[in-house]
Amino acid sequence: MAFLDSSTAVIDAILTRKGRELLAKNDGSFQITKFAFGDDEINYQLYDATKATDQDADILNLPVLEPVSNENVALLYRLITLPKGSLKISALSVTPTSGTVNYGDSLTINVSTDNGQDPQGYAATVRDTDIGALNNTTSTPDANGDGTFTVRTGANAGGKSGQTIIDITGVNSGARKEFTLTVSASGAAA
Amino acid sequence: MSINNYDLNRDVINTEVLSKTNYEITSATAAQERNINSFVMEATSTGFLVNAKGTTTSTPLSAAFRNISNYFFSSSAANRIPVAQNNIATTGISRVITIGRTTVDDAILSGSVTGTFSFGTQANKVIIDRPEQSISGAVGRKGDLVDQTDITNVVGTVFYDTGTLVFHGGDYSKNTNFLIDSSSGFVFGPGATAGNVAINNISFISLNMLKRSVFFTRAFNQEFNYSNNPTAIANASLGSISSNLTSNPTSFITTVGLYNSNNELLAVAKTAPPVKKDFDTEKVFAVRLQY
Repeated sequence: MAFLDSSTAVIDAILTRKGRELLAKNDGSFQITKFAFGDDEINYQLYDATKATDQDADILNLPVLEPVSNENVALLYRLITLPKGSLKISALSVTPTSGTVNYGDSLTINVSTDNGQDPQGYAATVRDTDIGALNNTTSTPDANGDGTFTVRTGANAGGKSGQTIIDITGVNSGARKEFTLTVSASGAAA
Repeated sequence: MSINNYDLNRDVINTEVLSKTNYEITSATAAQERNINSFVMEATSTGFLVNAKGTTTSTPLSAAFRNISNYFFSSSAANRIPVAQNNIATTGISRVITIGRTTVDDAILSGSVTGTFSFGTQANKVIIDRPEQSISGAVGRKGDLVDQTDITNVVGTVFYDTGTLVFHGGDYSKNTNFLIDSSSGFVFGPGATAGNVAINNISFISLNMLKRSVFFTRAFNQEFNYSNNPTAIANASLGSISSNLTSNPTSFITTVGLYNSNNELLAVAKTAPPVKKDFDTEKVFAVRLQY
């Protein structure tokens, strides 16, 4: 007979930049209602299912980074709930797969979910907001399950040319896709 | 699902945390380190305010007087404030201690102020605060500064929220006169020389009020056993899970993200070491957030 494990791990959270921004607004928008788990530091190739014991010894010894306040990188890979025996997880299809636009132009990105559904839609962030800005950071899927994001560039969107990544995440599936956006200098103010 | 809802009635505890810090200032150097300033202000002074770092500013002491007169005493007569012990007579001179925001935090704890002062070669006097019972002023809670041995001898007013002590009175016959001429000064030091007013020491408690929320975050046995981590996926375009994880699905939790209803990540917490999760286990994290 073993002792019952009644332990609850107590861990401290930090606010992200977005969290601080909404807290400072003091308008009720800082309201935590949901949670997700992530495993960014884990390398599952170290999990050796062929071992009789300690299959996870190498993983449990992996160092874990301290939390970062940039909400774009603080939790990249979400854990998901699927029925036992699942062989596939959801993946996002993004059209086009990458994009190059002239400075000042806009680009529309379509996203859909394969091997699953994202009825609550999609969320997107731009890593370098000096290069591009999203007209919408969330997208509700249409009848076909497709979401749409529009990214603008130019003087009203940071004012720089260059290359950046747009991270798109399925709210329900947690699936991610990186979209590379290149903004050419054409049309930029001298 | 990769994101779950909290039951806000069941899973969340909201409390307020009050932390207190004791301060005892016994020297000018200690005052300087804590951004505490003392000065004599006079309605007609031609001198300039010296800040807590010992630097002479461009603020005339007469302007400091008008500021305190108007802000703290709502005095329409800009060059006069009430005398502390009777509130009928007025004065154009008083002594002030300002405690910087970095030391005050949210407020000074009412009832925590004690100071020892020297008046010339007289015996030292201990001054304490007596907070008002209910808040009546526009600048938050205030209290009387009184002679510890004779609380009817009111020598000034403390404004707890701003960390300001104004000494605008004191009975001369009881050797507690803060209204004597400005040349007698008002500095931190071990004792006053003849004709001077000195602050031997002052102690108080500052308050820092924080909100703390604890989110009980549960991963039931059937939940969160698969991962979007690229190292757990054999073929990204097909979404096929690595074969070493299919027979006994296992995940490892390193991060807990807290989101709002717009799915924006507002707070994040980490576990160390990684926490193993599979269909045979259930995990609960009490995620603590202070702000």
